[in-house]
Amino acid sequence: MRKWITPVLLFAAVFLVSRVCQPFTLICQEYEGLFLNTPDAWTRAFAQPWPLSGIVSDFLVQFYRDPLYGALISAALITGVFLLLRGICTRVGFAWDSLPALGAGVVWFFLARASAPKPAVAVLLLLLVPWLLSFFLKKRSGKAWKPDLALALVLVHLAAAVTIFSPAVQRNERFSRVKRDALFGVWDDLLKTVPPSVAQDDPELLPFALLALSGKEQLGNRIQEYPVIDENDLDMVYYDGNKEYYTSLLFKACLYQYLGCYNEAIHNYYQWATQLDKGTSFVVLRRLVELYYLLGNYTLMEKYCRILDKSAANGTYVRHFRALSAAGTPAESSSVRERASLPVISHDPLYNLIQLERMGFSTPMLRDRLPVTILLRNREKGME
Amino acid sequence: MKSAWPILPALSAVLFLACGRIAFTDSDSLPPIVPDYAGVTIPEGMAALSFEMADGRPFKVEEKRVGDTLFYSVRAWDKKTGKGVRYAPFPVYVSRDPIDPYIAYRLIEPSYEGWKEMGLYTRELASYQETPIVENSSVNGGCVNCHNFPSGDPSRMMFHARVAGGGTVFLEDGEVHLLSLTTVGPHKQGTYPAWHPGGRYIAYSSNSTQQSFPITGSQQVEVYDHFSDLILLDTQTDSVYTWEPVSNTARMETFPTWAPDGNTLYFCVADSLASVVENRASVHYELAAIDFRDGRFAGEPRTLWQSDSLSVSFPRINGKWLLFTGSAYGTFPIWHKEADLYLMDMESGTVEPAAPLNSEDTESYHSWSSNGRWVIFSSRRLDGRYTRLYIAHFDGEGHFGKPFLLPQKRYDHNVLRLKSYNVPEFVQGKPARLDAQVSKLFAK
Repeated sequence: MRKWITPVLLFAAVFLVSRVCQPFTLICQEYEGLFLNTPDAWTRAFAQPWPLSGIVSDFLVQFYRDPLYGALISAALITGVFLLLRGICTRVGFAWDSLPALGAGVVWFFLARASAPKPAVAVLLLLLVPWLLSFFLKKRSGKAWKPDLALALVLVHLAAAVTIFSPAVQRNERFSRVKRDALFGVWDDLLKTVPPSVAQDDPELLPFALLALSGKEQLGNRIQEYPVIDENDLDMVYYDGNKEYYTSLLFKACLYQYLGCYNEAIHNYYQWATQLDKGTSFVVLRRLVELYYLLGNYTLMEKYCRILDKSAANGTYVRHFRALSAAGTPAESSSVRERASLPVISHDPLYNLIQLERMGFSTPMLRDRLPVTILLRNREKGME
Repeated sequence: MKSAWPILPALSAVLFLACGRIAFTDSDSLPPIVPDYAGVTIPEGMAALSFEMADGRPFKVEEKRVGDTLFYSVRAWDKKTGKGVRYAPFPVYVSRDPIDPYIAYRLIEPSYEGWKEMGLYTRELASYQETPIVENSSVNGGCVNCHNFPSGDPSRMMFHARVAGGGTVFLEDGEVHLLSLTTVGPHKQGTYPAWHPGGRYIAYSSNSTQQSFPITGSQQVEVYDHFSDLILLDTQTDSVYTWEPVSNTARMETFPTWAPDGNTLYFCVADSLASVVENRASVHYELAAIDFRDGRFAGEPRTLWQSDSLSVSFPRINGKWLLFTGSAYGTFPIWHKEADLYLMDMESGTVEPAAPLNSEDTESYHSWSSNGRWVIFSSRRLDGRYTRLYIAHFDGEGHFGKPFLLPQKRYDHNVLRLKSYNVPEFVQGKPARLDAQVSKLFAK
């Protein structure tokens, strides 16, 4: 019974910390992950460094869309590391829990900061070899060390505390929550996550808070609550090519989606995908399904459905959109004359909003954003 | 658990009986398959054609060869109803005209400004084997494009590597070297290449290309040139030259291609415009030519063909025939749904749509085989966005056979692949893998 105390506590600690403190981090790992049973995906998987751990990690990430499963898998991985380490230690004559707990704690430290469970999977797979080899060793009876259990439990608590109070983990969790909220228009939660004080400290999140305000049609009334200096705070337009490029592309993809400009949203989702590890991801593929469905391009929608169907956890989603398109009417292609005369997106957000309005777009976000953008532009001109 | 084992043979027997109960009815119609391989002409020794039922039903196929025709008999059935259809056999014609054994192309996501992974690849036509020539990981994640082999010779090759410290990479005598065209001669970068049949010169267009993104409508990307000129590289001296008649600032010259005798350079040209995007509908490239003697262009360019409703791209010559892509306007037809292939009889000057090759979606980049009996071209007919490769037979008299989609081991590879095929070219042998050598050129 005593030998199960540390692993059970470790499992519970990793599960609870992951589930309570990192749910959005786990969700976003699924969003930005990809595991497909396609020839190209397998070729790519075997070409990466540490292919086996990459494949196992990518497979597991599919289930992180529900953070409950993500937390369970994280807990299982870390506990697995502990058990293997303890198994090896026991065989070589150190029947202690504290040493394996230290090892598992270190792996947890890296897992909590990683963008996928690959580090933990890699360690687990690496440990499997000496663990199996250790069966060939003659079992040695180690001396028990009285404070061992207490030390192991302290180490587990320490690892949990390091994860809970880590600024990097907290920042990643907040940013992941913002990403989830922006992708799915959960505006109240986004405003709760990025109040003015947070926006002041983390300017990269400010445009998302303003996006949420315009999503609630409150931008004009509440913009003064936030530390807005210029249009870039509203549109992230100056971040192109900088280190914030990843964020600005995601932001613009969401912005144009809610403005109703699906062409530009698709453009930015594609661009955002190029910043991801695998060049695309589950959330990008799902978003393309949704946007091409809304555009009435059922052929492309079906292509992405068929690709998503090669994963383990998107079957219901795919069936839903197939049913929707079966009941819908595909859109006609634009004529050559029409295409040649259409305005194009520019790097000037105000110009884009005006063009959208002229083209008859009439989303609440467009109505809310246009006057504020004009106001900011005039303020900047006045300051010049 | 052990007690469950006897159930398996019983289950198999039930399944077998269930399968055996499928009631097949005969149909006079051809099977509804994707891709449509019925009546296509393929070369001898081509990798087996793979297809599936358009409605996803399970099916069995039997293949029988009679002379130069393969007949495919398809039986398909519905799992739920247990009813099946035995369709009329469809023919696939096998031509005795040989085809180059390899093709080369670039694979890239059909995205916008950015990319993650791309590469130049070669594919053996007799099998499904695809191998990289060079991937962009070798050039620090930059762009690799515009690969070209002189007359399909795999021992010589060039491609551009767009990356800091990049330029044009040449393969000669098994060695690669890098030349930045912008650092020599008129300081212009090279874009679309055309290797002179003599092997010494390469004509390039030098384009200032931009993209724009229509706010709405089914065309999501428009690509256009602000200006473009033609330049000439002498590969013996690594010198670059330009001539005013083909680098006229008032005109945009692009898409060079040589006559087989090397005495004429054909290209496309349009008037320069101040606001290309706003006036894009009025940009119509015409087909022009200029003489080439002793390593120099001679005389003035002459217009061979022009239209107010069609813009010419990618002229490619095969004897007296010139195949080009025609789109309603502009210079980047791959994003133009109306883009089709057109065949010009250079003796009579007549231009006709290459109807058997065209579809309701985009047809674009094309290339003749070394014997002129086959053409490979890119098309977006499968889904409107991801370019796939088609090959068609040409009889030398102006007639094309029905094209076939480049076969894959499983048809669904065409659906599941998230990359487009660019710039398909026939190659007469297997190109070497250059990753290791190229990596050294770009080692930081």
